Amino acid sequence: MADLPALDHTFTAVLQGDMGPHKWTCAILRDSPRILGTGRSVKVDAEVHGVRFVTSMLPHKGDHMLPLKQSVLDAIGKTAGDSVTVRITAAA
Amino acid sequence: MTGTELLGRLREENGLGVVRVEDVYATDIPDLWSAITEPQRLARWIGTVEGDLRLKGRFDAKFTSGWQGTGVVEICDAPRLLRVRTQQPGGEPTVMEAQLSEEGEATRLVIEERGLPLADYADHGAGWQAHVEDLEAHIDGGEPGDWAQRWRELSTAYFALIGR
Repeated sequence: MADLPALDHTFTAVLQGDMGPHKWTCAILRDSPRILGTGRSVKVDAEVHGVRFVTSMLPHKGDHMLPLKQSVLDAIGKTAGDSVTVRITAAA
Repeated sequence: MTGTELLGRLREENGLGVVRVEDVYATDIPDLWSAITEPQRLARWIGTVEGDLRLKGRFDAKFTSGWQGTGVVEICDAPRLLRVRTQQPGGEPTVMEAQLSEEGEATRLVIEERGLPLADYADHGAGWQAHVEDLEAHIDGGEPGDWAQRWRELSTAYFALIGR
């Protein structure tokens, strides 16, 4: 696993639906291998519009995707096609 | 595939080699458990497994690596822990163990193979990474890559881990 003590990155993305076998809704981080320091999965603390959770950023076509649980989408009132701002920091 | 970023670690335990590979997959824990325990799905990424796949059951397996042998299911704690004791004809037994845990929406899988001769464990490290990359392709709805070519790409890095 990558060691990312300094990771603290904020990005804005349009939520994409129907991602992966479970039709997740995801925020895609472009140019992510440079930002995350790896092309593999990375465990992060994420904060989206005031809601914080631990998750994994997963490789997706050369970038990474961050899946949002339905409970998070409900809490922030967003759905696929909406724009979100995400802050990611290294998970403990 | 993503170059030679290593998913695996090698260590020695009681004079024998242990391979540990881990990664996170874009699916939930029941689906990943199914992918590593159901023969029709195992055939899509690692090889043929036939027999009694219940606790204490015996099975025959042939992997894309060429590995062929028999196994006994020692622990089957769905959907979190699977341990099988495996043996190639004329070889020493090894233990293969899969641990699954939720990580956000995704699932982390740790595979360990223990009890390997020290002459072989770097080989197995490269081999397991090639296998779990095929698992990732399967989970994402794709087909496995060329296992032998991927093993060759990875083996130099795994041998370097043990200074060879």
